[in-house]
Amino acid sequence: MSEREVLSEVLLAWIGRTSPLQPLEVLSASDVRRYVDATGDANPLWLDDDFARSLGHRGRLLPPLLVGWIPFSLKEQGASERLASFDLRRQLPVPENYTNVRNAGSETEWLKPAFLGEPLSSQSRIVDIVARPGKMGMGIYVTQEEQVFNPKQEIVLRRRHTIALFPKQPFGAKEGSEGDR
Amino acid sequence: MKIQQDVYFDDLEPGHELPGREYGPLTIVDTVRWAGLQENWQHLHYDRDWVREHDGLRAFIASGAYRQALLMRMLTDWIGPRGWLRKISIRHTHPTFEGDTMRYSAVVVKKSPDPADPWIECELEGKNQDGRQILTGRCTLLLPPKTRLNTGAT
Repeated sequence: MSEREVLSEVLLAWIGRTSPLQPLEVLSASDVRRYVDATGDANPLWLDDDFARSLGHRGRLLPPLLVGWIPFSLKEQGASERLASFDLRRQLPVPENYTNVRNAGSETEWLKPAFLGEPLSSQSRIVDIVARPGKMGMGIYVTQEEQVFNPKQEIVLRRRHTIALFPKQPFGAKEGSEGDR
Repeated sequence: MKIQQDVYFDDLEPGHELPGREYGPLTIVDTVRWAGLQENWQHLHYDRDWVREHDGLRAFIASGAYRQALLMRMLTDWIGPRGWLRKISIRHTHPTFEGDTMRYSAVVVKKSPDPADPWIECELEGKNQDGRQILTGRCTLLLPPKTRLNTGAT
């Protein structure tokens, strides 16, 4: 497909669209434990309240990657409208065969600590949609900006994340060098 | 627990190489455990037959978030409890397939001229067992000066 074919006016109209401010699920100690099990990242800052307090924090911190964490299942289409709106990219009117989604990259900034059990909220905005040819065909690159707020409405995290969508690939076509999910 | 801070802003200059880390080889246990945490049931990360049929790949691949988590672990371990990971940007350039390793490295490329604002910037790179680049990136780290500790505490 050509660039003009994949970038319809309806799709491009999503640039600038902003999600409502959404409360995020409060992460629990067992979420952090499962993160530590998966990564081996047993930093006492996210496991030991006393240790964190000895450094002047009010309790243990969330591991940076879990700040603003949204379980993938909540972002999937097919969830309720409220849950689907966590991730505007899931609702984009891309061509039907564009089911091959890859993580093209991100930039994340942590402005303040976020703590275990702290209620956080998030808002996101589609900032760019472009098409570029690559080894896996004509890719659609969607960039979204997200902000995560603490209960004082202070920004604790800013992220700019790009995903790439490609057409379904036949076996042995390419190895996905444009990135991974 | 004793607070051990091994790295200080004063001791670093551009060109300093951080201790690298190697993770893997990637197994289905790694990817399924991550999929469970993330509630990400995309077949891409654990279903060998499906990825061949649907994505044209030879094996399942690690999630980008998983690779980033391991890279961030390397950085947060190194900066110590009084350091702060301020910013990271990552571009994924090649997947990590089942059986692949992830070898991460970082080098200081820039340092704040102002000790009252003690940050450094590092270039990041990941390679697989064949030396093929899998990601590149850049990060900003806040480190405590020896004279004034910066905990990032609130």
